Amino acid sequence: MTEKNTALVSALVASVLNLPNDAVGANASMENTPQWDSLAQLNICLALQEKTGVVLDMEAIASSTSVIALATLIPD
Amino acid sequence: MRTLLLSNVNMQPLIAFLKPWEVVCGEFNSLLLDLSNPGSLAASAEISHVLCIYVGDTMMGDAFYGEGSPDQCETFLVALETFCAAHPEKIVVANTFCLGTGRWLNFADLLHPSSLRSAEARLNERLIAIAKDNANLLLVDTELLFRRHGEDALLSDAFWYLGRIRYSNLMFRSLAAMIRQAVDAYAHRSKKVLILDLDNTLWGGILGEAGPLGIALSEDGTGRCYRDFQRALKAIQRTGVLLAICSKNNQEDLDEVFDRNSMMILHREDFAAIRANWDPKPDNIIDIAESLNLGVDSFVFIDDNPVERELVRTAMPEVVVPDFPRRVENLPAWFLREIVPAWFGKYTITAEDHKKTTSYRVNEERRQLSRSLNLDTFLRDLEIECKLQVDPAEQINRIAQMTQKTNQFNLTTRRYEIPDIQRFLDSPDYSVVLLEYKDRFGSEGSVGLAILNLAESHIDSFLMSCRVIGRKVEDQILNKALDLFKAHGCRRIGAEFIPTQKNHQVTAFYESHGFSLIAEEQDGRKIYERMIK
Repeated sequence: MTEKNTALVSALVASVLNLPNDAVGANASMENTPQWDSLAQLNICLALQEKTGVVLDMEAIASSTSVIALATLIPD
Repeated sequence: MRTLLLSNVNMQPLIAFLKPWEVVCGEFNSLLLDLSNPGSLAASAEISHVLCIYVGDTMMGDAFYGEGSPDQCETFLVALETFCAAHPEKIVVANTFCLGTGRWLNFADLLHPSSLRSAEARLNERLIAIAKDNANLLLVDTELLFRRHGEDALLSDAFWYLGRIRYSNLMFRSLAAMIRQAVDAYAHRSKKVLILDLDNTLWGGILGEAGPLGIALSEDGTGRCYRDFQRALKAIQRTGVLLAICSKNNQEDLDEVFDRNSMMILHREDFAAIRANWDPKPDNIIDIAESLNLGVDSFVFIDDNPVERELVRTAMPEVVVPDFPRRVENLPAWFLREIVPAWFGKYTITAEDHKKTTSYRVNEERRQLSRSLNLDTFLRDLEIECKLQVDPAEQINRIAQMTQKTNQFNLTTRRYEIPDIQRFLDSPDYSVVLLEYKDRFGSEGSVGLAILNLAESHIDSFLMSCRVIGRKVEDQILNKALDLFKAHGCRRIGAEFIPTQKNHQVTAFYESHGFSLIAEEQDGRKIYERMIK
């Protein structure tokens, strides 16, 4: 996982949740971000797939509920 | 415009791609319920557009796996038809049935009585029949998206089983673009003129260097790319798009191409205007706009040269200047897939569209005649014949199109869609007067329109196509309007002029036609009245 991927995921999550870019840091997750509900999680994963080309399986979509977890799904 | 999105699956991600439309999403799987329930949000006055975007496989239910019949699809079609008929004021958008490629009958599917391919065709036939009977139903052919991008790229199994989201973001993005373009096409918001460069755009190579027979235009190789591009241009010209040439070339060299190169698909008469000279292209585009009597904001400019594109973009930001494909082999497909739906989309094509180029070209001949004669002699020489029709229901598409497209000779610039026109035609409180024009050069088709609010003794809309401006035929439609008001018992006729950036030429129209100005608002709107005996 690189800083670049973390920054990419932070920006992507902010965009999907309609939040300012700096409102979603590397430590953001479903736990600590109220707008990040289960529907938002699906939208975030859809956007991540489109942006990076990575194809996510059900387990990854269901369990990768933080910026760090999502960033690890992107190959370096 | 407020839009409701209904589906039989989780279609919520589509909303983000439809921005800036204001879209609300119905409850999960509420498509049938919302269409059938007279008290639903779909039926309420606050919703102007209803999007019925469903997944066919899911709607087929067990029939997708060969069990039973697709009852839910039948129910949906009945509900859709009933809803469209009950709400002619709403625009309803529905996708076609496009079933997934996973077929339980595999190779036997084409011939088997339970064939999914046949079921899909039957359902789409029904859907098209409903759209033909209900002008407010707008269909979008989603199969085109699957053919272009492929099922693997557009469907998402993981999201389907986790959250009932069947599509990938590529599908949501593509589908949203398709819906937006179709709604624009339905509302006649397309561009009118396509201006084309010549060298390395209509053909390969430089005419001045290669000569009229040396340019790349053939049935094989690179020349075939340009010839297919010309075929596509000729096809969209038949839908009412005007083609024009703006090129740095000698006119005589271009004449030689038209006269001698048999590989040209497009001929001189296919162009409404031709400017082949060495003047700056923005000057030529302004000249074309003046000769066609159209605003440059209805123009799209295609040129392979990035410098020329940038020059036009900078000098005239109202003109749409798309980037040119990097590879010539992509030129025909790029044009038909990207440019046509984005800027020249059509949902219906009228008889006037077919002959539009001829009409504009003949206008050029009329202009030549007018230069040699004084106005009265010129008008007499034209041998004008006008036919007036009241409430011509069969012209509903053309009437809506005229309200959407006419800018210059348009007193109120009220834009109406087909359901609005249907309301006027059906109501005894309104009369719609349409003027057809012909002269010794040919027919212009329907070019004048007045929408009269008889109940309130008021001229709602009064407009003439720019093609006949200056030929004094507006008097005929106005006289007919006054006769209709009189027959309805009206004695005092109200009218108004609402200024826009484009209709300044009719600022004083009502004053010069016997109306008295009774008020002028701060925004420039003028209110008139005229008494009739």
